[in-house]
Amino acid sequence: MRLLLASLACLIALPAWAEDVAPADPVTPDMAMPTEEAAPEPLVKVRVNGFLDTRTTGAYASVAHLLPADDVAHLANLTEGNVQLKLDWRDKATAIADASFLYQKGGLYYGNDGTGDRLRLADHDVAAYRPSAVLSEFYGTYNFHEHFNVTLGKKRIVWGPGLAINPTDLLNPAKDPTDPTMQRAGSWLVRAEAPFDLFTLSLVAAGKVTRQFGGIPGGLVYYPDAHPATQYDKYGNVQSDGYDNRPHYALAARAYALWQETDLNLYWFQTQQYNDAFNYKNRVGLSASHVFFNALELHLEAIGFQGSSKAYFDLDCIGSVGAFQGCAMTGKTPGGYTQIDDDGVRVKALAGGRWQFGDNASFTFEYLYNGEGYNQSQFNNFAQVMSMRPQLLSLMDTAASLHQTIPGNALSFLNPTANTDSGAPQKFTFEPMRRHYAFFTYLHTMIADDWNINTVVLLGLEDLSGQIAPQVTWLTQEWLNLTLGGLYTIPGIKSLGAQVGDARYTENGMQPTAWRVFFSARVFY
Amino acid sequence: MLRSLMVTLATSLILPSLAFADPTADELLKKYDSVMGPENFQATIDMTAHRDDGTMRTYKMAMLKKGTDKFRVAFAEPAAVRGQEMLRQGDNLWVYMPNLKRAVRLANRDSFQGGDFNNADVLRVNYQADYTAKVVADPTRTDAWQLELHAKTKDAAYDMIKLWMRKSDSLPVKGEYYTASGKMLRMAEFSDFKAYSGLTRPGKIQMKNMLATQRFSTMVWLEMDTRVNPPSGKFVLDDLGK
Repeated sequence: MRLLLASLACLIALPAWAEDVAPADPVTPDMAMPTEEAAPEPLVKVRVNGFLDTRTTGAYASVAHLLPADDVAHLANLTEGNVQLKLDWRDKATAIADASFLYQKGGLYYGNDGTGDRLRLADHDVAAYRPSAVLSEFYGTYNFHEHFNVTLGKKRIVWGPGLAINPTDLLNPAKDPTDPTMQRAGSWLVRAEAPFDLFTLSLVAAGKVTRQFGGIPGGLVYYPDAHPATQYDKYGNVQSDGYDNRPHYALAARAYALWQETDLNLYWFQTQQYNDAFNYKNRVGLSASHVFFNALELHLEAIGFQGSSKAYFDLDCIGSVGAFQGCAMTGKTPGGYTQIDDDGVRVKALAGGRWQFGDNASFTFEYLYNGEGYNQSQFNNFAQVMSMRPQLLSLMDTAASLHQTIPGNALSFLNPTANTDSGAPQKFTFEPMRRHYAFFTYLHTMIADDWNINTVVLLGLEDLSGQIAPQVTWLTQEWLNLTLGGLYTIPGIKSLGAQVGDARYTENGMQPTAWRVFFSARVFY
Repeated sequence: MLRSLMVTLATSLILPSLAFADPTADELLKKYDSVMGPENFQATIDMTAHRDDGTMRTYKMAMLKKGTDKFRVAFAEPAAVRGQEMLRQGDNLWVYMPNLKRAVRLANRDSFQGGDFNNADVLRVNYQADYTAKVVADPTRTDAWQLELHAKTKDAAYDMIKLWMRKSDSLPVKGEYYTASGKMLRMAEFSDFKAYSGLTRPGKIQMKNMLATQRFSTMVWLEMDTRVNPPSGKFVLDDLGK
């Protein structure tokens, strides 16, 4: 009995004594079972933020380049007030708005006096410097199920992994490859999406904005009845009523898979006079992105299609303005859609890699192959037409019949108004004319904690002309960034450019702006 | 009488040795993962980066975790990074940039918002999967077990870690993080132990940068709730930015 009592005493006493020194099982997680439910979250979570940014730009535009400098302000200021609002209904639904109000003013214009010398022009109204409002995003998403949601409104959807440019992005306004952060505008669309752990299916229908007022669309898909500027049916034939009765839309289906730690996307698009001249055009694409060695991200993004949306020019018709007009009057097409229904398959592809250095620095290299870009003779013809631009524009003003007799939008390049909703004003708009391009991006953040540097180089590989855009940002306070940046046009090798008369022009050398410097102050709230 | 005395003595000797059987390295690693990265949780965290010049920057973020390898972080402060998000799924890491309206695939090696934690410190708390461990003797600390961890996957944040876990409750108190060559990169101190919805764990981690010794960052868990069961739809690439 005493034995039993003694043993019992030991069993009772020891754990109590041991508890002072160590728990009986110190490696079992100290996880008391919850006795109450988690406190309910608020019905709606609201997040508001944005910024106020003022950017002053000084530029130098050459009057000797092929494209006119008349509308390039040598001194400009852009002030942007941005507000972003997010409403979140307990993971059931989300509403997001991202709007900017832009006040801008440009001045100090120069033109060519006719002898090649600079001539100070009177300040004048230039559409690109008008105050405006940009509704970059405005959409709602409703989650019907964990694996099914629908989005309606204006949203920027970018699926491809390309940094400077996305060949598979057919939905959004073009971005500036020298500063992709400037373009946040999306497109008006409805999207149904089924996301799962390792794959996602997305269907999108987007409508082109055919008219807008202060950033608010007044027409979608179809032009409003009173719009007089277009005159073709879906086959490119002139409509007797002079109105464009075609729809303008894009459809997209996308399948995403996370496979072997690789982002894989397959795409199908059909576009009808959406962001380019194609009619009911089907395109298929793919993209992939994978990180190697825990430091190197490699990506590929490609899209294939038949035909070309570019305008091509007949050498016989572009020798002079008279020849151009003569071809038009005799029914011979001086430019336009000769390849839009071509059966030949063309590919736009971007391949690149980004190396992360481990000190918040990265270097990205990307190569773009533009399968519908001009070859040397086609580029020569294009440059020839561009050299006649002032006369052709004048001709269009005085001879409306010329406009009517040229099928398609062969002259649209003279006065581009293709997209009525081009998003925020950009430093540089990239419209690749040739076939081979390279992009280099060096980004180093948190240098000495408060400094970021970013340099982007865009290079046309056929004539080595391009743009270089360095930028340094001082994160002076958590709420204030000061940025000094620039844009310099690399003139390239003229002997590799297009010949017009005795002159030679590289692709980027056609642009009037030789360089641009800006200073920006951005206050976050 | 003698027999009972011997039995009592034997019981007294055997039972304590059973009660104090040292945990194995795997058990300690399991404990570390369970307190530093419980299976499901949502948390509100402040991270303050103390810089060379004495100034500091504070970031506030919401963190969501599901299972062993799904993390999502949404930054709430400062305003300049509000809306930025990070997502980890397995060995995959993306960052969503609101000014680009898109996500970009990342490697783990970048520092976490420029502080002294790296992405894997915050978004990859799964030592059992990433490291092999052994318990080693540390004569300077009798109150803690010392573990030596060696990376077993290429995605592990460090080549070697020395980790101290106190004997009283096996909670981590100190960590040292090394390169393959044995150079110490970081040193962490775990403190402010408290209970979050039933889970006791360090409420604060101070990470010292051993390459720039004036620098350190602290991460403070303001709230943590392990009772949540976040939907898996929150951890897919296409949900970022929503």
